[in-house]
Amino acid sequence: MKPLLKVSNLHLRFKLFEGVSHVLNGVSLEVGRGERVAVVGESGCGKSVTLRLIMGLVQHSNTRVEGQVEFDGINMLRSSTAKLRELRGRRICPIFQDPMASLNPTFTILDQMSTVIRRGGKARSRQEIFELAKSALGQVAITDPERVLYAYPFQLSGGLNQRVLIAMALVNQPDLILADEPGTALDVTVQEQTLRLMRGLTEKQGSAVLLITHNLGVVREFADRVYVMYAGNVVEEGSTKHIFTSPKHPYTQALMASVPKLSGGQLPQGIDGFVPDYTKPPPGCRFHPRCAYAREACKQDQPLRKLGGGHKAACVLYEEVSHA
Amino acid sequence: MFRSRAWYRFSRNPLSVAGLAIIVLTVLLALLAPFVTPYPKHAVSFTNFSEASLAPSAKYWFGTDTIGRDILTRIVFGFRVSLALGGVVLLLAVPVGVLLGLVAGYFGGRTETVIMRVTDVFLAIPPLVLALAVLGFLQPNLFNAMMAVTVMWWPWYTRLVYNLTRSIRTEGFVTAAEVIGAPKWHILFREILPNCAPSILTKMTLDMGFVILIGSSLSFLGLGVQPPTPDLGTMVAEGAKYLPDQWWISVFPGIAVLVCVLGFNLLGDGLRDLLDVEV
Amino acid sequence: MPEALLEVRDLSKHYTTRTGVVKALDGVSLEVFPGETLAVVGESGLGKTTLANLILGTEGATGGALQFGGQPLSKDRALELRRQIQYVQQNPMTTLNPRRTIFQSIRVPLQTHRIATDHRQRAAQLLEVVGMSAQYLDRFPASLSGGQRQRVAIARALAVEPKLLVLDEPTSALDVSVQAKVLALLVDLQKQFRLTYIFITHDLSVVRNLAGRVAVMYRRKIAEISSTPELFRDPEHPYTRMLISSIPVVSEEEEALKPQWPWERNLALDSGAVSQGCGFAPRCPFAEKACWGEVPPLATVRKGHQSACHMVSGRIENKLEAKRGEA
Repeated sequence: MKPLLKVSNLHLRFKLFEGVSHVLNGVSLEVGRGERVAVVGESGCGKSVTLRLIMGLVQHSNTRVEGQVEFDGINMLRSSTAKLRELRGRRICPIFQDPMASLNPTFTILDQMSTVIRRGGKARSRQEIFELAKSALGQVAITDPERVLYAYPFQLSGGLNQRVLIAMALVNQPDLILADEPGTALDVTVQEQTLRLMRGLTEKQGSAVLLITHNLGVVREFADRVYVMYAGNVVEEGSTKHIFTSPKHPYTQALMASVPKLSGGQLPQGIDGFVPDYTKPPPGCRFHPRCAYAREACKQDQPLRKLGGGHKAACVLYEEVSHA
Repeated sequence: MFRSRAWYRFSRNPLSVAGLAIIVLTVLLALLAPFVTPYPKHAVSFTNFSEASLAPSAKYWFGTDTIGRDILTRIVFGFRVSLALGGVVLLLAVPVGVLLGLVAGYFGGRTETVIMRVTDVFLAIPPLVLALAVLGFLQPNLFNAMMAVTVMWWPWYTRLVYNLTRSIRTEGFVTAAEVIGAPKWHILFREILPNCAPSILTKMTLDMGFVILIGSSLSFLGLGVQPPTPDLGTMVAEGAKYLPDQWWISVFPGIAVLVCVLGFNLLGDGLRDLLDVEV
Repeated sequence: MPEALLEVRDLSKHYTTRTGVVKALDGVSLEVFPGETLAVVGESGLGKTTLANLILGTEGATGGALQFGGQPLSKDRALELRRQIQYVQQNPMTTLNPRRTIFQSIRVPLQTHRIATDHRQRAAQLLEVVGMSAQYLDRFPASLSGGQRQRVAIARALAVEPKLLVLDEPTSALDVSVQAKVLALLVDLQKQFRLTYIFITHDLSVVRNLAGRVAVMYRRKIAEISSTPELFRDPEHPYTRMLISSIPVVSEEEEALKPQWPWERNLALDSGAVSQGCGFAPRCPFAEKACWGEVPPLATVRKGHQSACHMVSGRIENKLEAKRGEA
């Protein structure tokens, strides 16, 4: 079966005063129907800009995009703005990081949900829209939806606004939800709740989710499959189980080891060095200047090598494994 | 490195480069007026009735006025007065306004109430009306016009800097200085003021245009620069009597004001985008 | 027990607004001992930062008292007292003035407190202490990474040789690979300079590895205080239990360490119900009549372990057992 979303060999370059910044260096990823996929990486690895490209939100005179973004057979990079706008809101819905910044403070929740529902075209009359909005809020475990509908965002708590956003993203039953660090602006109990609701509801509706995050714990609790990004490259991909029980790429391993453990004991090590300057990235594997296993061969480009069971890593260490 | 990057970004906006070019040209012309104008003697008292009210020609590019003076020469000398007016007004108004804004914004409480209410009163009166009121008491001349415009200009800077200070004082680096116990003057002038500078600079550039415009308006009304000193506003006013037949007498000085104001505005807009500030 | 370096007694901060009194901190008491790391954890925006501001003297308390080394500590404190308590804040983007060089930022405490004669040399030395080279002295913050800026902020705080550092989420804006480095530096510096830390955070995994004791705050009050291992092993307050159960972890072994919480976490918050008694009652699956009427006092459960809850742990276990039976 064809995947719902297929990103192939995506390159993104920005022209800056310092030179050409090669921000994405051939990113490929896929999201199947109803699948929950996470892209994890540290700040500046290119995960957020990948998400924006998928939504068709990167349009600037000094950027150059190569590669393909295909959503259900539609070429997203070649589609008109009108076409993209129609897809966004109906079939692709975003959930952003900060609920307060995503909701307009001058309109009630009902106003904002009505706009979304009208675009979806599932309800027309005022009464229908109201009922749909009410049931959508009920779905995200809001016990008194009517009070919430007539409230303004600033009258509600952060956790409540976050749930309103989830309800808004899900109300049109989109095929794909793009989530950028949902709930991280809030505390852990709200974050946990957010993930749990997203997980339950998308499962029920059959919506696929592409989740962008830097938090490995969140990935483990949410995703079926994971892409690990470093400096504009996917360095490892695989099922959540594979990635968390036997990470293969040295970067994934180092990242995993940087997370402080709940079991206590001693503090993690962290990773030496810095993320490279994208106008002059190191040749080959961009992680090699910080890597403990670096060798001469790392200065050549490293393809993702198959390790079995859909697990792949872009590292020279697995050259033999992949030949076999 | 920083400078060249700033220039790179600035140069990508053709309008602000045009603005800068206009201003540089105007300033150069004003400074070198006696050397670049065709008839420097025409700048002040000079009469030549045999060549009065001539239309633009090869000899007099912008024509001559009713007593035979070259209009181009007088426009270039007029820039001197306009720029001096703008410069002096801002040099006096900005420090006062900025200081009051910093104090009101940082200390709050009663200090803030007093300063900001006075500011509000000044801002509520239309600038030209206020200047007219001041000039009602005083002799109409260049110095008094400058004073009048200064009196109505500082409140804009008080309000700008007040708003900036209110947001900057909650920034981490201000808290850090407070926790260290750094003196108040340090916090105001070393921590907060440098972060207001881009906005102040941008507003000053935009305001140069407006001050020149107001100065010309006052002169036009006969309350500013007095003849025979060449001033663009006075020239427009005098020429207006001879419209439309001898249009060049007032239209060219009018265009000169327009171009000068436009130059400062374009540059100001460019700076606003470049420095990413609100004014 | 040694004598406390900082004593917080019944500290409150109330604001009077047109619509009534807003409580930012409500009767908090705790002690901080020399050389220890006390973590303060809890929801964002509910009292932690106010507590820090009161200790640092950027705000004044409206009730209760602070004592530092036996001396009373108010908002208007002597410069010498101010010197001894320093601060590292959360946001590396704003902690340094973007228009001043690193040297100019580090020089401020040296000038203010008349420390050292050769400021430049001292500043270079301080940078070295936090693992940065002197070549950064004349750079502007914009050319530094988040981790480097936090290091500079630490250097600036250390410049005046303080006794107590208030660390307000010092690493939560950093990537994990950088966070680990900065945390290691903090541990190192604590040993080297015999510093006492108040570590404010929402990240319990970090707390587990760094703090000797933990104070859990809920709704502007202390819910529970305990030594770190005991708090994670035997959380007494239902809120603490819920908090620990919410931490996303990266391995099965850690998953097994989390207490169970088979209830929804935020539901009752929506109803807007305000409790006269325990602030947690509307979210608490164990809440009983007493919880809605009376504010539970912070009571000693075991030596060095206090909890503000009407329930005793035995009954929580019973309810958990019952819930397991249902499922």
